[in-house]
Amino acid sequence: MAERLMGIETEYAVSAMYPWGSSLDQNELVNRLLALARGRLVHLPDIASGLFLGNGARFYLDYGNHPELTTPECTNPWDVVRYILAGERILAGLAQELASEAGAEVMVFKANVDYGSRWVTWGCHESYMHRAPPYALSDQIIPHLATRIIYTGAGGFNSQSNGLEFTLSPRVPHLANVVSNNSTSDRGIFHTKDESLTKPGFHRLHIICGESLCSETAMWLKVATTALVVAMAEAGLSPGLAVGLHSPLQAMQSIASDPSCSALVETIGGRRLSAIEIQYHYLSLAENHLGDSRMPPWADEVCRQWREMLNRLLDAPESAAATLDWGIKRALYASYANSRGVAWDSLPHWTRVIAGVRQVLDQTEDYDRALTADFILNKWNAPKPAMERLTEFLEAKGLNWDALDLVFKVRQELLEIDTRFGQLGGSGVFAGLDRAGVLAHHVSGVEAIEEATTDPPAAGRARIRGEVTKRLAGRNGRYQCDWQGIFDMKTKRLLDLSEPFEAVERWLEFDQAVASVPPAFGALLARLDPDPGRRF
Amino acid sequence: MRLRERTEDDRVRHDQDAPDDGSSDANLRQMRLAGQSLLTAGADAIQKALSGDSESFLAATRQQGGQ
Repeated sequence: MAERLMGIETEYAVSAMYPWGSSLDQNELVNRLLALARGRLVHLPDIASGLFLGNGARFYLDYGNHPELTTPECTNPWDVVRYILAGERILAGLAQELASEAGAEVMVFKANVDYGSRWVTWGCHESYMHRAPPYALSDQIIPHLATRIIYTGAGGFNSQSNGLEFTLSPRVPHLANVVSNNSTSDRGIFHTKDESLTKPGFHRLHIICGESLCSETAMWLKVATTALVVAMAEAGLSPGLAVGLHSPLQAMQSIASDPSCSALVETIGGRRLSAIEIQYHYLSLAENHLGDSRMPPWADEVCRQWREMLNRLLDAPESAAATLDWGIKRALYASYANSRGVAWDSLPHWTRVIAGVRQVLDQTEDYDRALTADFILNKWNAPKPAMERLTEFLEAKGLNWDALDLVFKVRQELLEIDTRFGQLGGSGVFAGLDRAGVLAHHVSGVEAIEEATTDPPAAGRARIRGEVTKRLAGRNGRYQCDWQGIFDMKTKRLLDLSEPFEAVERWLEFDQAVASVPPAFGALLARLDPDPGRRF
Repeated sequence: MRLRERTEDDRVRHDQDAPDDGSSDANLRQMRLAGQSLLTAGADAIQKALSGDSESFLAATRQQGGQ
C-alpha cells in the first residue's frame, strides 16, 4: 500500500474593532499578530518573514494581508483535519491575546469571500504529493473538482450578486477558467502550479478551487476523496475519462446553484449526469481498486464514508443540514429570512428585480450610486417603462416594492451571519451550534487537537522538522527553516528534508549539501555560501 | 454507472430501514425534532453573533483579495 502526503493552506480574514467603533489598521493588525506569534510560539523563522512551528506547520502572512496557516505534511486525512483544527486553536489564542493587548475586539474569520468587495476572495489550498506526469492529471481530476462541491462546498452567497443568491460554493463565481496558472485572478478549476518542494521524482498537485470549511466531515471528505482520485490517476486508471465534462466551468456553476443536487451536466460523450452520478463513478472505480499498490491503506474507510454521504445526498440532500457546511447554512439562513418576514423562496425573485434595477441604473448618470430602498423608491428618477416591467414582475410573484427596504436589511444581516459563521474562538455561529450539540459533523479518529498544537505528525519529514524545531527554537536566528530543510547559519550545515518520507535526522556539511540537494535550495545555499558569487 | 447503482450492502441496509412496524414514523418524528433543535440553536447562535448594525460590520471588516 502506498504512503501519500497531503496538506492544507488556509488564509483567514482578520479584523479588529475598538469599542468606539473604529477599526485597527489592517497592516498594523497582521504585523502585530505575527510579532505576537514570534514571541509566543515555539518556532524557527522561515527564509521570508514567517514561522515554522514545533508541530511542523507554517504560519505566515500571505498575499492581501491574510494570516495563513499551512498544516504539516500529513499521511492521512484524519491528521489533515486534526492539524487544521490545531492551527485554528493557535490562531484563536493569538487573537485573544492581541485583543487584550490592543484593547480591541480581534476577529478571525474562516470565510472564503468578502461581501463588501465583490471581487475579493481568499484561499484554502490543497496539496497532494504524487508521481504522475502533471499534464496527465487535469482531465482526470477536473470532473471530480467540479462535482465534489455537493459535499465540500462551504455554502454562502454569491458575493458578485447585488441580490441574495445562495450557492453551495461561494468560490465558484471567482473561477474564471478551467485551467489556469494564476491564483490571485483568473483562477481555474485546475491550477497548473507544480512546485514539489521535494527532491526530484515527486510532484505536488496544488488545488485552489476549494474552500475553508467548518464541518469535520466536509474537510475530511474533501481531502480523503481527492487523495484517492489522485492515487487512481497516478496509477493510470484514468478516473475522469468516462465523465469528462463538456463545459466544466458552466457545470460547476450549475451544480453550485442547485441544493437539490440533481442538476444535470453534459459530458464530452454527450451524456447528462448529475454531480452525484459523477461522484458515484469515481467512488466505484476506487472501490474496485482498493487492494491496488498505489492506493493508501485507509482507502477502504474513505470509500465507506464517501458512499454513505452520496447515498444520503441522493435520498434527501436536506439530510446534510446537520453535517455539511452548505447544508447547515441553508437550513439556518432560510429559517432566519423567513423569521424576519422575507420568504426564502422569494429571494430569487428579489435578486432578479435588484439585478434589473442595477442594469437600468448602470445606463444612467447615477450608475455609481449604491442600491438602497430609499434611493430606488424615493430619489431615483427611474425610467418609467423599466420600472413598470419590474413592478409587473413583482406583482406576478405576489411581492411589492414596500418590502424592498426589509429585503436589503435582511440581505446585510445574512451576509454578516455568513461572515461570522466560521468565526474562530468560540463566538462563531458554527461554534455555537457545535456547543449546543445539534450538529453531526465530527469524524471519528480526529482527536488530540491540543497535542497537535505542539507535536508534529508521527510520520513523514514533518515529524523531523517539528522535533528539530522544538529542540533548536529560540537561538537568535541561528537556524532558518524551509519545507525542504533546516539551515544552521553558524556552521553552514543543512538538515536535508527534501525526501518527503525522511525518517532520520540527517545533517549535511555545506559542500555535501551543494552536491546533493535539489535546485530549489539554490538561493538558500547562496546565502550560506562562504564563497560568495558561486552559482547554484 | 447509473444513479441507482448501489452496492448490495446499501440495498440490504435500505431494506432493513424500510417501514414495517411504525418505526419509520418514529424516525421521521426524530428527524423533525433534530431539525427543530438545529433551527432553535441556530437562531440563538445568530442572535449572539449579529452586531446589530450589519452594514457597519461589513464595512469595518473589509478584506483585501487573497489567493
